[in-house]
Amino acid sequence: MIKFFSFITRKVFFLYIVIFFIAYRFLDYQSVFEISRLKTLNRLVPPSFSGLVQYSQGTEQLKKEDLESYLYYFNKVIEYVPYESDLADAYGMLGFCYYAKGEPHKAIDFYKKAIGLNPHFFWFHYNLGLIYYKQGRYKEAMDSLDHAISSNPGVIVEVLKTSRIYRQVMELSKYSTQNMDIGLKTVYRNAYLLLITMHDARKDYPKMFDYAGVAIEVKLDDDGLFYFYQGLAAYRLKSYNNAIFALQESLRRNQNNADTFYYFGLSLDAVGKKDYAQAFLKQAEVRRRVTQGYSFDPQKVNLKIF
Amino acid sequence: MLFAQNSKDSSSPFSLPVLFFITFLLWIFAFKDFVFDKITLSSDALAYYEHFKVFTDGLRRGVFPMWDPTWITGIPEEFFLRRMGSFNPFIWIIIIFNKIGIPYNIAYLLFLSCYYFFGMVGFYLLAKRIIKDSAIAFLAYLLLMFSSLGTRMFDSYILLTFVPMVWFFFFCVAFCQNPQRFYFLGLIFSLMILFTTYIPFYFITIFLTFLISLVILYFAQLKEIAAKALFFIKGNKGFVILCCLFFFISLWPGCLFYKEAQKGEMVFFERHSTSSVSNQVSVGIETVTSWGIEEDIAYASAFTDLKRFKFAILYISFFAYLIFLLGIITDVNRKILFLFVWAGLLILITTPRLSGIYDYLYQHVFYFKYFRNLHFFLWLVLLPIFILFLSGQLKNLLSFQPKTKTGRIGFLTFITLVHAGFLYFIYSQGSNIASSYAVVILSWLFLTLYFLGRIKTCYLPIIFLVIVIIQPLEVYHYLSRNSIPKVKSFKHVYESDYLFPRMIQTENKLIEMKQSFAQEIKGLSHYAENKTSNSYIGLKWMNLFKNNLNLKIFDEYSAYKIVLYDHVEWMKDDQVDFERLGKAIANSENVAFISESPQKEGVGALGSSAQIITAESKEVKILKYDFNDVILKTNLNKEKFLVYNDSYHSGWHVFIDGKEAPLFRTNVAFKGVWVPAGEHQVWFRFGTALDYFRNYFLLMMFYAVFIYLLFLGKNLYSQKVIN
Repeated sequence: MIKFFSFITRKVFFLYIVIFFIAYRFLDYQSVFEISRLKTLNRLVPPSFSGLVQYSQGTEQLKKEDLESYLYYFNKVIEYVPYESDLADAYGMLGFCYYAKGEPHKAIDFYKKAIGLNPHFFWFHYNLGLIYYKQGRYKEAMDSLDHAISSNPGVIVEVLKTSRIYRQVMELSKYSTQNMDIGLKTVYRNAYLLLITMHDARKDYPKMFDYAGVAIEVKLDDDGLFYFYQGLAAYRLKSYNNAIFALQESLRRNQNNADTFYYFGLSLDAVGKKDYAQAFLKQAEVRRRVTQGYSFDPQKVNLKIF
Repeated sequence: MLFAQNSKDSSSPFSLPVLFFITFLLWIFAFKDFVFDKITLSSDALAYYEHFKVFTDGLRRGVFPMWDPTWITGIPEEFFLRRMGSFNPFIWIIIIFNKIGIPYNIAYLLFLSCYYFFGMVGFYLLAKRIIKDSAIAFLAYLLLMFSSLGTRMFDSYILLTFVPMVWFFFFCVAFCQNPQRFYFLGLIFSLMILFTTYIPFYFITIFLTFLISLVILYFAQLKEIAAKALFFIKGNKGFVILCCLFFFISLWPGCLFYKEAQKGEMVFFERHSTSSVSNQVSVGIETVTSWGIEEDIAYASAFTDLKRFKFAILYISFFAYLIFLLGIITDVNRKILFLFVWAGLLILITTPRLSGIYDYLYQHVFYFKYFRNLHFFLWLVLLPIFILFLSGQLKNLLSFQPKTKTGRIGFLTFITLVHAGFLYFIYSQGSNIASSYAVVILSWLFLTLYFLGRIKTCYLPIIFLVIVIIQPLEVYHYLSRNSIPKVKSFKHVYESDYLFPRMIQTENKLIEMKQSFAQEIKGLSHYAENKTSNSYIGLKWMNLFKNNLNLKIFDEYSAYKIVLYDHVEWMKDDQVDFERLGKAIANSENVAFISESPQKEGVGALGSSAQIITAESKEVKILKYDFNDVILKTNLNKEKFLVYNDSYHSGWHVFIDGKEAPLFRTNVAFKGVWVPAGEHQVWFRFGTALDYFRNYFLLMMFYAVFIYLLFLGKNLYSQKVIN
């Protein structure tokens, strides 16, 4: 036994065991390790996030090497940062980056993780909903977008301003938060419009009517589009008086949409006002030849980071 | 024993000098884009290029530059000279290369490469003395040569401290083993270089921990070494005294610089900002602990994908890790323990968050307040110690001979399992460069064949060369790819001819600038503003001037080097009116503001404009200009106050026709002097006669010691050859 012990203690690995024991028992190596990893994150930050922000805004294509650097950095954030609040944002960024890379499945996983850590943040739900929509997974898309529109826009801006990750991205891309409110309004509109068009496709007109109504209530309707969809839903539900009311409101805001004239005419016809109906139907034909009307194309709606 | 002289030499059919030369060429090849200036220098390396350029340009003209006119509007050169080690004779490599036609930037980079190689040769010699096996020492040389220590010459200046330090330890160990004049003088000369290069406190800490470890583990041998040293000193009294005198004289510049920093004329914003000590070169503990060894290691561990490799990432060939793992079954000996204890002491001292030792030393040992880059210890000493440790382990491993067949099979199985495990580990870490796997496979092949008796020891150097070098060649290819290419030729600010005192523009350019400034300054509503300075180093008064004047005014003012005024006004230091000053400059008012009570205030109409000298004329002509002085010939129709817009410092003197005249600090940060009417010679000079004597004397002393060292080395080598 003594011989064996003497043999073992002469070997280098025994020295390592002793050192490890001393380090474990007497030195605070764990906090040293954590603090130093956090500090190294500062050196791993890409010099700029302009590429990411411009891609998010749809103004520029994202270069491959830039995307790889963003993915690398955010993966390191997840590896090194112990704070959950920042991890949610990092997961969200990874979701966005993996989608840009053409890996929607990974993007979905990361957005789900982000939502798991922060279930009340608009952008995670919105982007996840969009990914589902583009994949044709409409039920999941509707669930996600539902969650998105239920979040408070005012809170979103505050969260973005206090999030370490988002602040870093904004600072390093020189992004100004001045017009963030306008941008948010646009994406909320998109969310509602996607929900409405999906319910329209599923012939769920009561839901379509409700969503349009909520959008109107929260003042997202500047151009009569939501009134149009409300009117359309009401018409399909054979609630012609509601249809007339809504479509009339739509026409007050926008007289360029042929479909509004068309359904207004049909609604008037349904309630027996045939002369008026004919006039509006003729207007619809004229406008169809001249204008494009509402140009919401769900396929052109893209993910954003903010 | 660490200091036993007899060494076992596994001699190779391949001449080691040839192998060294080949490795140097391979290293140059790996870093060709850096060495041949296709990729820009980065970070501190760029500043050091500037310092060397100023210094070598001065040396070539026979001038020891003590003032750098190119740093903002001028600064004493002493700090930069201490940083680069101005008395190092190796600097002449740059001048010689440049003289034979190599462009300066390439000559500089080749100097760094040669100096680095010189340091690696020193490390080989040191390793050979400690490990007593030339093949293993060659491996240690390869591991260090191709580690990322070499990359630091392109983004840092650690090399300038590392090379003399490794030679110091070589000479120290060699002297302890065999006291000779050559080794003693080499030791002294290395110390002289160390104490005149950058901050010697890194070396002092390393040396003290070395001594402590030595006392702990080699106490008995120390008596024997001390006896040998005493015997040597008795037999070479005069020589030893002279060497010690050289060493103590070499402390002179460092002490003077310390005193200069105490005066407060120079300010170090970044390093001094958190310090509670008044000396400007002191560092606050918050600055010190912002980045250290643990951060460097954590940073390196973030780059498991070696395709992303870049500067300041600790890297060593994977063969080193295999040796580390295989070495766990080798025996501990005193040498290994010594290296372990030394490294452990250093880590404990230089990692503040790991233990309270650093904090204690910072509070109670004065020099700990004067250095801050604790992560340097990782590069300067921990990496070489680790390599020496591995070398010792490999030597033990290679000498391990299992006695039985079972033992041999077990050992080979162990080797295979370690390699397989490591292979899996690097695969799981996402390391996707082919050479990583090649190293592991080659290492396994080598060790298996070696222990099967199929490899002769004489082939070890070439085998080590192949195994060690394969991965770094690929890694440094990625470093080149990930680095910023040089898009335009970096031209030093004064590589163009001087046209007027220091960096003034052509006359046409001046007129263009003046017109553009006039437009911008016209209608300025305020002339002063408060900004935070972000220069690394500056002069106190220049910093004040720059940070409190409207930037456009500062730009305009700095463009004109000589301005003549008829009037002066006293503006006390505690009552500087920057608004008034800025307005006066912007409107070219005929009044200069001085910091002390004027002996005379001037004559002539106050409302007239100051006379800005834009070109040589009968009134002002330059007879001579250089780093340390400017000589002007003036021929004024009346007495005027001449302002030379170069930073003010108390080291400046002015002489009119050979007689010293009062030099005033003017317009907060510049130099001014009253010049009488008529023809006169005005000589602005930085430094005293003693300063010049000191610098030239020290240069001669260092060069003489170096030449004598080479002479002693040649004699010793000839003696060895004869023996």
